[in-house]
Amino acid sequence: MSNLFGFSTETSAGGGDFTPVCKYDARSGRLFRIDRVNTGNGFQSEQVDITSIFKAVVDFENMQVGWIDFPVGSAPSFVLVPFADFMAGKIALPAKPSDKHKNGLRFTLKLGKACGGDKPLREMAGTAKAFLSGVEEVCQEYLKTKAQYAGQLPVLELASTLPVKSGSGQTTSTNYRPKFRISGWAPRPVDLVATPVPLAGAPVEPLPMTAPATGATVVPPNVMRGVPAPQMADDDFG
Amino acid sequence: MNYSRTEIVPGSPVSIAYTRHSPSKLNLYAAQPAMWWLENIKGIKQPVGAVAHRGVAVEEGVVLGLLKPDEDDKVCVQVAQSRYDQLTVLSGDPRRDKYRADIPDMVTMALDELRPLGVPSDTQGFITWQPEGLRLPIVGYFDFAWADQGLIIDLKTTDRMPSDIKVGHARQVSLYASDNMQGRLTYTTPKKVQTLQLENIREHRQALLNIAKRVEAFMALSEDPEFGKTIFAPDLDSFYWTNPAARQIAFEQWGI
Repeated sequence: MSNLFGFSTETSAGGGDFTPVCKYDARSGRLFRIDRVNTGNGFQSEQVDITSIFKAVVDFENMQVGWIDFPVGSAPSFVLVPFADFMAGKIALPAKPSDKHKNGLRFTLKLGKACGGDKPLREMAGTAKAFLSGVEEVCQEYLKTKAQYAGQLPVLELASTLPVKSGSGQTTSTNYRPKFRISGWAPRPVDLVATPVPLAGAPVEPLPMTAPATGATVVPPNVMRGVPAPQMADDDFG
Repeated sequence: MNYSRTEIVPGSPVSIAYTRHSPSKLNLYAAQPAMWWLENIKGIKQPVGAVAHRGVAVEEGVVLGLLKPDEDDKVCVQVAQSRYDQLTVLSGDPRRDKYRADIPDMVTMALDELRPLGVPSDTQGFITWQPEGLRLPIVGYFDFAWADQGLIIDLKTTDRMPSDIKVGHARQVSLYASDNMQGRLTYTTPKKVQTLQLENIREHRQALLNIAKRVEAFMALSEDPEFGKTIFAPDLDSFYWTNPAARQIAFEQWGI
């Protein structure tokens, strides 16, 4: 193509610039990889169930939290801030953009070879409380132990799903909370790059910045001595 | 007129050309601009005290011990002491012998602290950073890197253990660690060793940039190398002017 207009007029291969996604369905307790498949008559989304084989390097360092709306039939709306900045008190959660937005989070991950398909780099986002509480639990474990694995990211597997009932009487429903476990740690894959995403929706007033601390955390001897890494398959995430 | 001082004008009293920033120069500009001007524009360097030579010597012994994990500590200490003797052969610093006596404990404690990390992938590595908005790069040399662990560590010898990383050190190591590595400072005194985790790397690196912009803004004000003397004045209570020779220079330059 000649790039006459200064940009390509080639059609994209059913994905454009969007990162493909993984989805956790809290109603069924299943975890899917969503692939774009060329049917010959165009592209359609195909759900590949990876619940029992899910294994991924998860970029919790760059996780985002805030508000998400998943409207049926159109693109989702994300109004998020970096979780690390929120935890450090540098930024507040944005104001709720609309009644349709719910609390949610988003992170990127690299799926293992057994479950990653052709495109192992994925994004995962959700607003279901069952999903959020499952991520919260494993994220707390991550925050407690990450200092021992400087420069590495956690490898997550889905150990089980736990039924969670809500409502009462005729409005009782059962969702499934994912029970993730950190099965190991791995260096950041070179293609799992953190790309800052500009905030969409309502502008956010950040908290006033305070002078940055330099660091008073003594690195404990066991970290200096190197905690032995769990045995991992070398080619899981190559 | 914009003047970046990258050339020495023939006959100029400026004996050195300011061609690049470094964390130590930028920290000095923030802390004591009069001394910064004296050393970097006027070209009158202060004599290095024996305490600084102690740091260089200890590092040399530790480098040997890390690159050769089976080397006897005594050999590493001997290397450090030889280096110290070489550096201080003409030093009139009255604390020279005291600092030499610190070397064995500092070397052995630093090796005990750092050897468990394994052999470093790099020592004395050169880092250069020239972000947008700066005419001159910011450069520095890190002490140790363990690339496989995503780790950069700078070794500091000191008489008193700090409770947190000094701001100047934080800026220095933030340049080395950048966005890719964890940064740590290993402080060793004659009695104790401790490693602290650097926090807010991006903010401290940004601080270096902010200071460097101010240095360049100052340098753009005038081509006259004496200009700084008409603007800055030394704080004679600062430790920078403790040395009697430095005190005398302050009097000669500023009449105070």
